[in-house]
Amino acid sequence: MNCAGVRELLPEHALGVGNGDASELEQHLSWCAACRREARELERAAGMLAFALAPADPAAELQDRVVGAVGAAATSPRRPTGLIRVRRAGVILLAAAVALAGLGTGAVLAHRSGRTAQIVSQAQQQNEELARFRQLIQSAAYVDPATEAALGTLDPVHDGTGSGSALTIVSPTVDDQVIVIVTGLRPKGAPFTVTLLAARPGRSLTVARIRHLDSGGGATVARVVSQDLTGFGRVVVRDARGRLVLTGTLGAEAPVSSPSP
Amino acid sequence: MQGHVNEGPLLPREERQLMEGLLAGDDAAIRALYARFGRPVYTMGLRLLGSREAAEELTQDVFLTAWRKAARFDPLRGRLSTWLMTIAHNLAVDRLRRDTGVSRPHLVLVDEVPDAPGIDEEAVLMERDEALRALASLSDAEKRLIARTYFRGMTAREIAEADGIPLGTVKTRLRSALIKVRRANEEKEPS
Repeated sequence: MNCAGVRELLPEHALGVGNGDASELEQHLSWCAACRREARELERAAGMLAFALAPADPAAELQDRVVGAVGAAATSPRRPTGLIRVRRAGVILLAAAVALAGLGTGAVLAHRSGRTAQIVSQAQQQNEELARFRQLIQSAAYVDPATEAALGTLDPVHDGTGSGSALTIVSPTVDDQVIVIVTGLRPKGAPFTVTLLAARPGRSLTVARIRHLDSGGGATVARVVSQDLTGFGRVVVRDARGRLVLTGTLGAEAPVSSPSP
Repeated sequence: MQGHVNEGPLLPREERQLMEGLLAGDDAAIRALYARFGRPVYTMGLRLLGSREAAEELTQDVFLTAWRKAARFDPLRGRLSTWLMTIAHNLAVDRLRRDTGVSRPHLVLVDEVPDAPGIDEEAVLMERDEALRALASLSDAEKRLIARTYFRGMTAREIAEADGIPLGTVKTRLRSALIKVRRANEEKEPS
């Protein structure tokens, strides 16, 4: 995406009504100072607008409700959303594999349960962003008790083949991350596009394009993203012709006890 | 919460202090944040979503989200008020667009400021004053355009289709309106 394309999207982005995948835009802003300056200007302008609304008075008891909810969330070992709370994100990939095995996602992990280390190794080669992810999860800075992970399995659509699993990591301190593992896909369908969808219609994030599959029709992709992944609860995989191949929902699972590092 | 937070506009150091308190679940910090920003957040919910119940739910969600994202807040990149209201706006628009069929409330952009505001509300009222002044720099058509996007969650494409005008025109007008808002505000900022 070039500067002209980015500039065209910035007003809606600033106003919070951007449509579609913002990841390319965010990526551009991460290195283009001129567009970033424009984005900040527009965001500052949009940020003021909220205060133009005619004030309304909330009920007095709302304060206690809010204070109680935040206080409870901050001291509770479980999140109110029911999403997994991982105390040591440094082991999050392994924790995800354990959780998925426990959920009976045989198609994915029966193949792969003995290959977890190999999967990670392959992914490092396939996707340089995974290397960054591993660095992040092993760094002390990443150890954050407020980190959330949402897991889900991917199932074939109609009479299609393949299956998969996906994991998103939402962190308050570092960039959010997503990992998707697929297997059993037909090579002739490549390249496949992996997309995260949010509840808001039209809000999506292209995670990766899978151009090459391993001998089992599988691939592992991982990506570190600058935007907040809160609310991105659905994963879809489409083939080269745009047909839906796999789909799955991420969400609440039983808590995962973190293995020792 | 450690340290003292002034009653006027917050300094970056004080904003960071409040957010550290929020992250830790400190009761005083949460109450201080609510005292300053609870009302505008609730207002956003009520005006965009149209019911007290939805506004209360949104307010609670905004502060929970702020707690979850507290460590991401960087006072050097922008004011705490803007950051919180961006969270509120995103959550409200998400809900607005999800709840199809819900009648959209009538928006009141300009109203009388209530008498005798509390000390904690003064900074927010100053921001309201700035916002109204900035909006006053827009033409009626630009105000309507901003209202339809920011306050009603309509995309440029939806507006273009509804009004039968080119998408590019809507985008250009949106940018122009935002730049005007920003410039009007800049003129008020101390150099």
